[in-house]
Amino acid sequence: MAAMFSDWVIDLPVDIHRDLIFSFTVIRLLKLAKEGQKKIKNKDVIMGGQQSVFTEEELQDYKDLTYLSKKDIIRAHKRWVALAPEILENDIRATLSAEKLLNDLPELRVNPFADRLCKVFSSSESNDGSLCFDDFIDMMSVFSERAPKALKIEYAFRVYDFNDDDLIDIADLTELVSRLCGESELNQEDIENLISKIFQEADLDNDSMLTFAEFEHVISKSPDFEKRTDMISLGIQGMTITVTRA
Amino acid sequence: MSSSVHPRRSGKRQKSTESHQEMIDIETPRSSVPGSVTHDDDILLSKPTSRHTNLHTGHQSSIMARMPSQQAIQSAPGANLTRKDCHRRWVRSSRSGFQSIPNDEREDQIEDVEDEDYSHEHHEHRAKLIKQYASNMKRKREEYQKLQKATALKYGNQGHRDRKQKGIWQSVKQGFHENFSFSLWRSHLKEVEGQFGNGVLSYFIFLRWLFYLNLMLGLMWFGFLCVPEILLAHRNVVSFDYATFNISQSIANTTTGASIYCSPDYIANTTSTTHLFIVIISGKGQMECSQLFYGNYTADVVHTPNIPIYYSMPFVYFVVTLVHFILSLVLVARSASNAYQKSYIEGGSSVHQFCNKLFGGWDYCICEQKAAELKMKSIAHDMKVDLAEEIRAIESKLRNKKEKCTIYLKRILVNLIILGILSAAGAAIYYAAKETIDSQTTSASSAFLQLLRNYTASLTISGLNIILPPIFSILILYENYSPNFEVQLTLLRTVFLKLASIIFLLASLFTVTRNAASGGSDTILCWETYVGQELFKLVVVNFFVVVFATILVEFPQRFIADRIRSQTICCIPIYPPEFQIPKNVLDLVYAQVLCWLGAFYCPMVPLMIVVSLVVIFYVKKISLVYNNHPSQRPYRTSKSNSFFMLLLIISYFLAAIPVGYGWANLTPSKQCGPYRSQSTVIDAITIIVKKNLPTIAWDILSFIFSAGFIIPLILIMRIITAFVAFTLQLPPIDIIITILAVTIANY
Repeated sequence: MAAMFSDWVIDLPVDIHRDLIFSFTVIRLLKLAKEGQKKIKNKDVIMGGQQSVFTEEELQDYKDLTYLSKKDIIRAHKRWVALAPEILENDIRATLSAEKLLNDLPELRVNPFADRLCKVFSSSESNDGSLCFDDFIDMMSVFSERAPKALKIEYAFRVYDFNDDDLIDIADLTELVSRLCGESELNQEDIENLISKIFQEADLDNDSMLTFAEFEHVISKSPDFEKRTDMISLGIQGMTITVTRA
Repeated sequence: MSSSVHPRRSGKRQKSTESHQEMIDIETPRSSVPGSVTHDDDILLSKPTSRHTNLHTGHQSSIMARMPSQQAIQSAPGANLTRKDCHRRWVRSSRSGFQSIPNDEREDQIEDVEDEDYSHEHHEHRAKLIKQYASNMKRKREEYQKLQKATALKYGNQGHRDRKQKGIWQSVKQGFHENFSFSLWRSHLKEVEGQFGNGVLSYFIFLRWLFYLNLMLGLMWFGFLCVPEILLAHRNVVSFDYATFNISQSIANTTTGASIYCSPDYIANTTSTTHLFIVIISGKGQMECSQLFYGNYTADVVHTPNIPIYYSMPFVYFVVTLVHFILSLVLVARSASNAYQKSYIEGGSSVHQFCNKLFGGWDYCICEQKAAELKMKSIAHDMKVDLAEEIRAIESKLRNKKEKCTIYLKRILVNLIILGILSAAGAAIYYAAKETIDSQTTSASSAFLQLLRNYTASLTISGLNIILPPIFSILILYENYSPNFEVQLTLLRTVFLKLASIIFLLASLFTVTRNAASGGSDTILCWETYVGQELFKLVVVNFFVVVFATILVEFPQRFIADRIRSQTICCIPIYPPEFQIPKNVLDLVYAQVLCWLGAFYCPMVPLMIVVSLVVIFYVKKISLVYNNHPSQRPYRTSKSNSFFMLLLIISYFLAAIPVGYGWANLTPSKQCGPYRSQSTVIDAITIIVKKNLPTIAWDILSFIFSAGFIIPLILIMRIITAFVAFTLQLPPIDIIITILAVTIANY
């Protein structure tokens, strides 16, 4: 079978053979070039039949200010709009309340620190955890793979500081442990043991509180911290089956 | 102070002590926290304010704030705009070289430098800093626009042009990345990550990496060897180029068809089996003289009359193998050093183990409720285990002499038993391989029995690999180690088992080559093809074992575990299946070793491994999603990753050294293959290269590969790598370089 095929290929008069191949490649290249040109010329990014709300400049703007790629920004936007289409179609700058986010975003739904995340990233005046699209993009950017570790550490500290006083003290740690391990898993003695071990390891000036410096000193050595706070290494999750690739 | 993100923090905390009460009065405005940005230009000149102060008096706090240590604390990257001072110094030193500037001129220097400051690098630098600000988008946007305006003002057109030029190359690169970045199996991996977290994901990512590696290698082998072979197969081979090797025409014995490539004796002896399935599975008969095995490739330089094609098969074969090994080494070493760096150098010791587990413990990638609950349980379990282990460590220090003796005795005993088991396994493999060799020249009563005899070695190896590891994990219970260490030690022993089985197989194959040289009626005619067949069979058996072990064991296990509530059947506990990451990764590494070892003798092995990896991916993923529960024991991804990469490197050398040895010392068989007529492969290549290069080039080449050059080279490389390792604080990789150099110099 292979012999027959090779027969046919080589027995063609050599020049016709060469011409065919050459013309095929040229046509293919021209097609590719045309498509490429069309992409560059379009100022508005059009995907999947949907008109986008971003101009090229806005996209570049987001790209300059965050650690996301353009594809990720567009995907994030799609997910954001899908959360509450009625509100967000009209006004992209609208904010969504924390309860809505906690219910609908799968990454936040199961996260024990979801409410803290909303609060920390929220830029609203009332400080109730509502996020607008900019805040959402900010959150995705911090949780992306290219964000530097120091940035993640900074935000982690803010999240774990439950009473917002720039220190992690015993109350914060107790809250942290109970959220992380589930309500009924560890008994009181274990929790106290654990907290004392933590202070043994991290508290350098022995005042039963962790400052940002001590926290950073400990976390920056953690090998898995970066991987675990990386929601986007595989790209922001696409939506349901109906949406094709961007 | 201008508006800030959060209202002024006035630490409302209920602390009883007097000293802390005073601290509350110190207003630490949130806006002065590093990372938040204000519009106040005074910030540029003001002293850095204290953050997170836990001092006792207000007076002390302002003094402490000026201390260098406090300033160091606040310099989170990209935070204070006072970084401009540092930048000024940097710019000055880089522009003025290392000349010393008299003091009075320094002020002027600063102003000049400042005017030229908004170069492209400076813009990039500031833009990067702005990205790193830990504050919300609005502020970042305002800062960025300020930066744009300032740059445009100061620099005007020239800077813009400069930036545009650089921008074109950057945008081309970015465009490439955005449009063509294709991530294979992304949705599957995302699903796995969401349900099972990071550890299991690392297994699938490793699988995908191996897939890319093998695809590259397989396409290379296919394209350079099989395709020319197919296209030029039936042409009239003008074999006058056989004179390359100065041998007589009788060996070539050219006629049409496949018999060009294996001599007629060989063909007659091997195409006797007729049953198609047996032919395919065991690689004998028709398959033996196909592109699958080494024996098929010709020594001729194919030169057809119509279209002038000159294709030196022996040379290409050698070069492709060389590229195969060197490329693999480079990629594996790079990946291994990354993993090693991440885990050991950045990871630090177990000093902070509790903090790491608590603060870095939650896996933000999880998206499912069930998985989240399980993750919480596993973290709690892990904490309890660690606390218990601390207690256990204290207890073990307090053991008295008698207990210690007993435990050590038990451990020595178990180790001896395991050594005995391993040697018995090795002997079994050796004899099984001998049986297979015998089956080549004698034949049993039925075709099926003959097939079994053929497969004895492979089946023995796979059987031992299945049976022994559970025995290891039972034996280790007597040794009284901590649970984490138990897992690691069992893994290590399983690794020894797998590597030892390959070594014993190679030993038996070595005796084959010895025998082949001596001649006689009961020797194998083409030992390279035989070696290729053995490895081919191993690959096939390994693939089927992995796939069927997954399907036939895990589905029933889950079925039963769901039905039986009490979880025991006749006192054997039945748990729902868990995905055991180390065992599966070990399977992948084993398959990869077979690929490296087998590629020279059976060029299609990389492509076979590619196909098997694809099938294994889907089988494992489906079984994982339908059957498995995430394991209770949490998995330390980075340390394990570095261990498996180290394992990959060791296995690489295990594969590369026998092949290299075979090139240098073993005689190729006289009846088949590209190197029929030569004494060693290396000799053949030397002859070809010598013939085709100009004399000067050959002289230089032979000098480079002689001992007089290599040894000084090794010394210089050691010095360089030690220096580099010292400055960059990376692990020295001179071991790899030394071994490579010694291998080259040794032939």
